[in-house]
Amino acid sequence: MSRRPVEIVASAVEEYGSGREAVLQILTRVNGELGYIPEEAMKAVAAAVGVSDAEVYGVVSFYSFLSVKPRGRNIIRICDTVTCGMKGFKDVVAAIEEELGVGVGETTPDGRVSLETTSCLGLCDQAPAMLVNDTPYIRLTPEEARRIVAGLE
Amino acid sequence: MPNISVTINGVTRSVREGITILEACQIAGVDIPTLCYHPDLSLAGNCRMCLVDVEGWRTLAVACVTPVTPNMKIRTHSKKVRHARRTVLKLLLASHNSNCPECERNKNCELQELAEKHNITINEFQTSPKPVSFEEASPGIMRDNSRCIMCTRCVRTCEELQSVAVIKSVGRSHRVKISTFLDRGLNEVPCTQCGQCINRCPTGALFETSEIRQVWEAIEDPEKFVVVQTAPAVRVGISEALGFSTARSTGKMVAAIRGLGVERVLDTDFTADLTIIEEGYELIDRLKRALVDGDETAVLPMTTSCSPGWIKFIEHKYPDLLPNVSSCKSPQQMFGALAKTYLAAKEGVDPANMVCVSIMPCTAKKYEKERPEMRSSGFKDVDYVLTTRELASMIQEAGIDFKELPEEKYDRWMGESTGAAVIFGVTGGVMEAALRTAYEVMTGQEVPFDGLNITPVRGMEGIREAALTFPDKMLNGYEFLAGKTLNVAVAHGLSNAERLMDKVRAGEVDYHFIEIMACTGGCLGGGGQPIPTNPEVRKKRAEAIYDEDAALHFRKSHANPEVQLLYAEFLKEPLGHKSHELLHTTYTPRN
Repeated sequence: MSRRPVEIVASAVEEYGSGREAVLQILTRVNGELGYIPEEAMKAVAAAVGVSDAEVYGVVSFYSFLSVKPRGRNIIRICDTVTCGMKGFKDVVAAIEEELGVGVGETTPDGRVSLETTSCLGLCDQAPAMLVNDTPYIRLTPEEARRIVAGLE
Repeated sequence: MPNISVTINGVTRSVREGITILEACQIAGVDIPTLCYHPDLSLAGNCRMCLVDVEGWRTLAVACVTPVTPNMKIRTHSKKVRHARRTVLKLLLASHNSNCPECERNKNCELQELAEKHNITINEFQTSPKPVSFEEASPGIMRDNSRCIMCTRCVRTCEELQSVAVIKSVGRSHRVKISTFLDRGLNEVPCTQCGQCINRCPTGALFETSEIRQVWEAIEDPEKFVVVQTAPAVRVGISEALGFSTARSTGKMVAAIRGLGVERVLDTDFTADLTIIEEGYELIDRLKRALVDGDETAVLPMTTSCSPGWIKFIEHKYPDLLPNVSSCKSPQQMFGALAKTYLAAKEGVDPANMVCVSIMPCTAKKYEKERPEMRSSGFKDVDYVLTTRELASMIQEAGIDFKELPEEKYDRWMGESTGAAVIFGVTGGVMEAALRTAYEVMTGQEVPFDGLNITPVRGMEGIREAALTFPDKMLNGYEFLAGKTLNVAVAHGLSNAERLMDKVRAGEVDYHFIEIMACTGGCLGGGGQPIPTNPEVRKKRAEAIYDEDAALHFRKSHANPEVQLLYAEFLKEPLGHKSHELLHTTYTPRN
């Protein structure tokens, strides 16, 4: 059973402290455990650290790996930058969209997968590339991408 | 710090080590354009307008954040500098909504002024202004991010001056914007509506929620009896808003408002004096109950309640300290409640047809009048609130030649003012006015200060303290204070209020009475006052207010003859039944 957002914040504060420098670590912990950072968690972080709610939200909004909305159990981040763009990003993303039945920026109704684009992953030499959760996939073809996506739990 | 030698545009001079290039240039009388810089705020260095050339440096220096070094050679308008500044301006303008005629800040916009000064007529950068996005949800403050240049002056104002911090930079890269927690409306976050962000915005991204249209409609409606009240600080701000220098202009302001076609021009000063009576007696009552009766419900220190930004702040941040706040309504709301009862009867007007308009140096007053408890006359006590800037706009629209106007007087019944009421407009003024009255009520003598000027509570220090010792001989009923010392404190700017209230909450201080104003400098620096508002301008407005006080015949609130008449004919006594019904209020804890 998953812990309540404020409990996660409390335990992260215990571990990382309540200084401003701990904000990102606390938020990363919440995001890792829940897949997103709910409003009450942001407020709890703000209260623990002694900054405003708006400041915590500003931090969350800056990082694309942190989210204020629930996302799928798996997150696909496919690179849309120049090299991947030239090496077939369009076909790969179309194949994934078809496989999932949702578009970029959306989550499958069963909460299995969220599909997002991202800026350069640093894998230009092995384009096109995508990140599924924490695992990079490279030299993608539409077929390969379909297979990977279909295998996600 | 020792002095060092720097050369600015070929002229060598000695300056204090540690100051910035910008400060050195200001001392030298050399103008450097700035946008993100504001003398009230910390340095950001993000707009890049103030770039200067430093000999031997590979890149241009950001003047506002770069300290001078010995023998530094600075050039402020080399070809490289001019080119860079023009590029910075063009890039800012490329994403800026440059529909200037439709902007509240047209002709009073720092970006517009710089574009003109730098002769930006053609912008080779493809323009892609952000979409217009009016946010009009909150009663006091509106935002349009399409005019925002991301200088973060508002963000720093909200956090540094006010400890409110409800606006922040949100997002990243070209998607970054100034926003709130979860992008909510300012009415859904703990914004105090003080409007200090408006005063520091270099463009028109922040402005007041205007009620000019509604006021014109009321003036033109023959059924309506329009009653205007003017706050103390407006009379020293209005001339600035009309393009003149800071000046006391009470008489001309009254003439101008009358010229708009309203039925009565009256003075919030009248209810400021009334506030002093009610609040003074409330303080005496609390002192007696706390010190003599041992009544634990008599909470000290008592704080003032005139500033609606302060009230909203304490409701959000210190709900546990709400019992410390005086139950007196602000002068604006006392005025509204009396206008639609006492004045309506005096004038023989049906209060249902009366429209009560306030001219305020304040945007939080627009919020205050909407509070559900502000209907004790049976109607909405105050219908519309205009800022000093909005009044100036109406005067200009009506084609009134302000400078040539004769000085006129306020109308009767609620138009009389004392010097004590005028100084409500400056930090420390309510305290000074209260002491002038409370001391005399209890001792029968005037406050022991030369010319009634209680100088220890004056000035611009963020928090000021003073102590006033009562004589051994007090008037009947006030013997309990004989020889006792009254400890008072004054804070302005909500960050200072926070520092003070933290001490109160921790029990570290032993004050009896505290004056708090939400805005730096008090109301004269309010969010509805002319732009710019900075330390120099605040000083001039404060001088004008103290001059007005010194020039008035009555200097003490209890000497106001119309207030005396009000008590004799209507209220009967301070803190009496009618007062409680019309002039006192309650507060709401908010999270």
